[in-house]
Amino acid sequence: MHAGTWADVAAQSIVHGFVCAVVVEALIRLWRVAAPTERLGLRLLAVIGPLVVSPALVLAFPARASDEFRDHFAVFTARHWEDVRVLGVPLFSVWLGALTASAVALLVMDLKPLLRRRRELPAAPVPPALERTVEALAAPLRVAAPPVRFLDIAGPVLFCTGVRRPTIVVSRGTLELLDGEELEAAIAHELAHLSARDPSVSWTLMGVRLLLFFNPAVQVVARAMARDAEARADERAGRVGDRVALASALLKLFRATNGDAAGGISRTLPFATALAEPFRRARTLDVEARCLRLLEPVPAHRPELAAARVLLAAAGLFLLTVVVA
Amino acid sequence: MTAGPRPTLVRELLRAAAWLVVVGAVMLGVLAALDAVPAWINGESRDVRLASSLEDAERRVRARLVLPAYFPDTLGWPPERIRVLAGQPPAVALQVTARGGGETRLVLAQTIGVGEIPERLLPPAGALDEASVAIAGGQGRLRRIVGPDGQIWREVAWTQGDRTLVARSKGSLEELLRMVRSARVQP
Repeated sequence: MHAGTWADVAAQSIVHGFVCAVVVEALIRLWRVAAPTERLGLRLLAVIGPLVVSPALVLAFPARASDEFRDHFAVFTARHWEDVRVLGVPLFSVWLGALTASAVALLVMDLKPLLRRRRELPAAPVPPALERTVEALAAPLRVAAPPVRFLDIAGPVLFCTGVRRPTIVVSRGTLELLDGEELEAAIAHELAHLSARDPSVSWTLMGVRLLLFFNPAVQVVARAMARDAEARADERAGRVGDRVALASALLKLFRATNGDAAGGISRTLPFATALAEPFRRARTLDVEARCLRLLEPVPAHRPELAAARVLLAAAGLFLLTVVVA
Repeated sequence: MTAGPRPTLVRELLRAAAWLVVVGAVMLGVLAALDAVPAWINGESRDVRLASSLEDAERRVRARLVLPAYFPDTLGWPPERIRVLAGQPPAVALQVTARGGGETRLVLAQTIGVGEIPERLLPPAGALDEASVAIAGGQGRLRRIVGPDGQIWREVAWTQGDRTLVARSKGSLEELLRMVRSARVQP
């Protein structure tokens, strides 16, 4: 394929990404989708659009690349913007370049913490009480009790990591900062991440982001999915622990770490780095929203309605992407 | 009868489908509006595209163009505006200005296949008189027309192979006929 064709494929993927993302975000609000699992499912559609549907349409229907399809059948054709020139440069090239640059910037922002050299801290013997807490909470969350890595440092650290060997990392600072209920709730939150296989999911999502590095909509939706994963873990943890205690733990950890729950330690979990947004205000709003959600009653989740709505949205998005070239 | 929760689910689904239709319709409207902007800026129909070069136009219609081998040095080359209409058959219109620029002096339109040149590409013009001329071993139609600028243009229409061609010029008749008679598919 020559450069022009690659540009067409990239442009189509970007437009499909925007169409899917805007429709999904509108539906989440109009349908008042509160359950994080359903939100994740809907946002996944916004990623599947440019990841699967766009290339499938390119491969299965080469006639879509013809001028006849673009000019007579497509509702929107990105290439039409090639006819408008600013200082001799087609606007198609301008917006393709600008959107690709913004997508790469978003990706690099989240990749940077992953690429930073890790500061290995020596593990200390795990306090037996902490091990017992993890084991007691693992069963109701239907997850095998993972090994605990205890760091004998004053800074509060609490996160889960590992795809093949999931581990929970806790520091002395966390044990000193949180009371018993708060610690249980916070550990239940990390176990909920492991029970949902979030570390694997987050790596997969980072792979998709790398693959669609030029697509800003995918980069933004992936970040929103990271927030949904946190909300889902909050909900699951709230079922086995105290929701108010979890909100309190969240606030304490946020205040003590200035929004960096890893306590300056590099992590290998892209979901977590996605949350480590560079904008302090955004981080604060995230924590605020999570705490508010935890203080509210548990949102109703009707799996059959959620599944039907996700299927409905998938059908609608497919029809929309077909007519966009 | 255990039809308790079912109607609620159906109602919720209908409501969801209605919102989906609304959102989809709004999205389609926005996309169609965005798609119409470039044509609106250029003052063209939505399906008339501007090619950046003759090669670009030939790539789009997947055929070499019929071009005059003789071209007077009073006209500028390459064409100032190359308009392409995909369709059955595809068609191309070249707008040529004088060598120093300025207003259009020559329009050369052609279909790539059997058919008429669409009005979107070459607007119809009122004929003042009409005559027959010999071109490429066949007959062409020579007319004096009132152009879109209100001035008198000369127009020659003929067929070459399966193509329909029209040349409109504000120059001399002799130059126009020389160009038309030298027109051929570029090797």
